[in-house]
Amino acid sequence: MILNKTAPFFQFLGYSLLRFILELGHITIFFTSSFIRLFQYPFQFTKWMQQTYFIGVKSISVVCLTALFTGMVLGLQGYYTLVKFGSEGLLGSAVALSLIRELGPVLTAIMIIGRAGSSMAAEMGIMRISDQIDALYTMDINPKRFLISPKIGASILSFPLLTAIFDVVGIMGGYLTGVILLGINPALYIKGMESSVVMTDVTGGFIKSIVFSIIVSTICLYQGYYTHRRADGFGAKGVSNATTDAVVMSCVIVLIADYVLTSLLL
Amino acid sequence: MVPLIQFKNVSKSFGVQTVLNQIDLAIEKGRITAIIGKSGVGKSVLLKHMIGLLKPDSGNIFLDGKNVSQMSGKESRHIRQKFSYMFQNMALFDSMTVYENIALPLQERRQLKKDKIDHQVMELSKKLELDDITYKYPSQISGGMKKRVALARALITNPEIILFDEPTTGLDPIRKHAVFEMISNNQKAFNYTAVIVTHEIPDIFYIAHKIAFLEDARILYNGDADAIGYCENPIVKKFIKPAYQ
Repeated sequence: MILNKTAPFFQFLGYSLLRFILELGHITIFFTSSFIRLFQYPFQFTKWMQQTYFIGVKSISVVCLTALFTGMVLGLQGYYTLVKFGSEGLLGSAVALSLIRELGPVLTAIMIIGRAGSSMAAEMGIMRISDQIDALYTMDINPKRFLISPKIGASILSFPLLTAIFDVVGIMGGYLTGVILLGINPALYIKGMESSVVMTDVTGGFIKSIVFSIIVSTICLYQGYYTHRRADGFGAKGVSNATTDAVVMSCVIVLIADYVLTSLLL
Repeated sequence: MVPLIQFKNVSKSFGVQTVLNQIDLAIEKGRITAIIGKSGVGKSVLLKHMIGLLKPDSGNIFLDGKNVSQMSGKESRHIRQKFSYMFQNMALFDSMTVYENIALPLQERRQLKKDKIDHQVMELSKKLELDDITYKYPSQISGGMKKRVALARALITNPEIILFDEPTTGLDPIRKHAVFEMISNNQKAFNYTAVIVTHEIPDIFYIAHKIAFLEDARILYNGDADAIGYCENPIVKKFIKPAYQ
């Protein structure tokens, strides 16, 4: 009796799990086949650089702005928490460690998802529904090599560099609030930072940013590239849904991956 | 003689809708074959099977006598290099200029030198009256011009087989005539094989050697263009009647 009632639930659970595994397999194949073609001769260096300009250079302003205010808020919150214990001298290390280990890679990834990830998904989706991807196939031009590889390569190059910029600007933001506005000794801020941040913190942050770059570029491009397979909408509606899913999925998976990576790196 | 493209018992369904039902069709080398029929009967689907954009649910497609489903990746790539495809909606790259659109197959596939590519693109652009707009983007030109750009992109590699998906839709009668004339003249000059999906009757009867009529997922007529007027099938008769009035 109980078995009869619970059967549809387990059926649904099993079906969803199988679909998830299948999708994960498709995404992995999509990434691998595109990434390998990055090194295929003749190299698409110009296209790679153009994409790096679009994903990386054009994201600098938004990353700097986010970093500055994140650092300033960290400085402010950190100061009022630490001052209760008379440890405001630790503000430099608190700000730097939070940014380098966690907030830098995660917030940079989320900013790039909003600025470039959504755009990549929409571009691929429009190319798919207007037969431009099929046109490449008929011209015997591999669409993954031509469209996907340069974007994945550019993401892998841009994410760590933007994370580094985020970290530096964020630390400056913390300095602005802690030292200039709240009057902490500047030497204490910098010395505290110097003594607490070690190289493994920095490499850990960069490992995260590289993993996030792969996650973000692959999910956004995959969603757009396979817009036509969607059951929840065709044409413009399909592109719109693909873009939304790309952004939501990327953000969620970045946060999950962040937890997993932090557990592994600590 | 072995047909260049051959369909044997090819069926294709999308969900519950059967678009092709055990189709048998042979495309002869060096001839112009037109696929005609009402809108939405699956003419473009048939064309997409020829170049591998769609795979059949059952049945076999043979290219040059070789079964496509049994070809290695290298073989199918080699075969695909002989094809060009002109899409119904043009499928031009919006972020590229007219010049870049036409030159793309040469740049990516042939890796020719820039001056050689320039020469070939400009020569073809002149023939198709596109030389004044090569710097423009597809969104800045008219529908008729876009058709000609798509045609130029299909012709630029001098392919052996060109698949045209409604190449004259949206063109004025003069340009429509010019496009058909160009397809026919080029076919005579370069002896390529052309497959044209179209509604344009009787115009297509003047340039096509063979006609295939598709209706209800089946080929109702497959034969010489000159003989279609004698076809006894009532559906074919009704479709081509306006052409003979």
